[in-house]
Amino acid sequence: MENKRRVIKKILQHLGDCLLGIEDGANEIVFNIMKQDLPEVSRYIYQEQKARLFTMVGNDERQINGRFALYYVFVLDEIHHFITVKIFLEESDPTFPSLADYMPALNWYEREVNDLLGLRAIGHPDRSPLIFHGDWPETAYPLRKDYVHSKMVSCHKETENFVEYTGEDVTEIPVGPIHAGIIEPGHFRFGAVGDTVLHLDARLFYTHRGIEKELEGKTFAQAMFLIERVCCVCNVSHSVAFAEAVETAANITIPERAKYIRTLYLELERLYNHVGDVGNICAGYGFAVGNSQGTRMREMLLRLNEELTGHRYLRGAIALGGVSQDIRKDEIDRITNYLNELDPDFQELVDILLAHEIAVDRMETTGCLSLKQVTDLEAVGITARASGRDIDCRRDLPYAAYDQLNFAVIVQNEGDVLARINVRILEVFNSILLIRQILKDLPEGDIVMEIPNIAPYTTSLGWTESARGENCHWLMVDKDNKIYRYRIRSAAYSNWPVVPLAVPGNIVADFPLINKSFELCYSCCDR
Amino acid sequence: MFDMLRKIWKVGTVTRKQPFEPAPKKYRGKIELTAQKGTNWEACIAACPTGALSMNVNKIRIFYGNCILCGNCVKVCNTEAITQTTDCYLAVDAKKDLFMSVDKDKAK
Repeated sequence: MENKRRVIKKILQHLGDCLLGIEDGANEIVFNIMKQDLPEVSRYIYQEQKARLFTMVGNDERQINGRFALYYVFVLDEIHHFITVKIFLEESDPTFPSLADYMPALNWYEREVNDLLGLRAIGHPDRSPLIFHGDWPETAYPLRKDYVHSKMVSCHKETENFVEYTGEDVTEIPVGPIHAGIIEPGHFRFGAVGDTVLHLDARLFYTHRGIEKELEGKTFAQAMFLIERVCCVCNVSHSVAFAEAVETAANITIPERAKYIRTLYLELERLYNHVGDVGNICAGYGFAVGNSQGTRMREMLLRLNEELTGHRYLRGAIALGGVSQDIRKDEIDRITNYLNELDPDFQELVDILLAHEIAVDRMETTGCLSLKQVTDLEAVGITARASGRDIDCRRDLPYAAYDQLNFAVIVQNEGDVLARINVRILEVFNSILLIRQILKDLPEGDIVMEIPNIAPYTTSLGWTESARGENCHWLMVDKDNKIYRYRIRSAAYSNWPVVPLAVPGNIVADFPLINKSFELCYSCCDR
Repeated sequence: MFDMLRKIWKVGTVTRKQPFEPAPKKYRGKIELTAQKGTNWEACIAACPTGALSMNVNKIRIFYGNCILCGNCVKVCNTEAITQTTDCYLAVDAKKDLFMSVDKDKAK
């Protein structure tokens, strides 16, 4: 607490002249600044104070104050505190200075606000559209409030902005967006010399469903159903992040039992994801035994989920202000019994996999990412931890019941496919231990509480560590207790930019393996 | 090599033949409507997040194509008029079979 006050005081002293206003919250401080001061202020917070970028949100606030606003949310893990830098942009001059040059993680965020809100980053090194592929008119901005939802827009010809190769030795190999396997759409263009990849361009954002736009004007209860559908395999993480954002805005603390049960569902979700992913990686080099054993264990976990909550992927288990599905005594025994079965079963799979010379040979030194790469691009989750970046918001920014549970954060330093698989394997055992702790300490009491009315235009944050990394949800409430603006920054959105960096230098045939080792969603990246 | 064979032998066949045993008790399956007097249909319709439930004069209609099986209507219903079964076989041959309607006031 003392430390927190000292750090904030230091920042305030340094920024003194630039600040137009300060809003102080329980775990967040908002600095209002002029947009020309943005580079200096954020450089100080980012580089001198070692804060990391959490999310960046563009908002059309013309109905409230006649201007657009940008929120840069930084987090200081060491003192568990958020620093939001807020700038206003006039409608007549919707431009702001680009920071992507020295904060590469902002590359996507700045291009996204250009595509969806028409706010231009001056000095951005890459002006090509991110969400749209050039076929969308440059005058229609879907996230502006005056955009007519049902209006048809004219289609333009697609533009391509892939790297062009000169010389005869480079072969361009286009793959996707429709793939041979049952995966989501994404277009990859390899520049290969012989078998070795020289450069990879990834074009994603084929699955834009406009969820953020659709959420505007919805009540929280209606919004819950949409947010559960942002991503299928991370839906508990997303719905908990949403519920927490609403609870923080309403300033309530949910019952202890609800916190524990939420944590249980979050860990069950992590468990089936990791077990499935460890098995699935075997498909990357045609190791059928590993693949089918992993799939079998995942299926058993999905059936367990179905018994507990009525849904294989745990949909509908989380409610605003708590959880909607309680756990009975006999269900606790059922989980414990299954975990006792899974533990040695999964250990056998791991032993087979890591003792298999060909398997290990394919995974070792494949798809390497350095610590600098993951730190610069703000990668999160497994990707970050496998390259030595020690972040896990279960420990750094505890939510649900994680502050009362003991667990270790797994960090590996190699940054290759094998390191990512090792992190997953160890996290599976970690999750099993966590679930046992939760079931042992499960307190009695209520599982859900009412959400009171929320003050108009309150903003709040919700976050969770999903199986892929941290999800961050940013919420602004309007004057009728509905959603004014909602921004979902999923783990995939932070992690996709590093995938093309891991591929060069590897052979083309290793790409599926590298891609599988990240196991990223396409649609929760796009929303 | 032997550890792999041992594992395969130990696990055996895990696939199952249809028809499967019924879905678990908590499974949220097909919503069934029955006409019952005194049902507050307006509340049920308002609770539906996707607009699958609707009222036309005195007919209550459910469109399974829009229903996401959340069970909200069952929770707010003041009678037993709406129930959630564990039936998971929802496929039909024609779109018209996805509609089901009951008379608002007529009890069966």
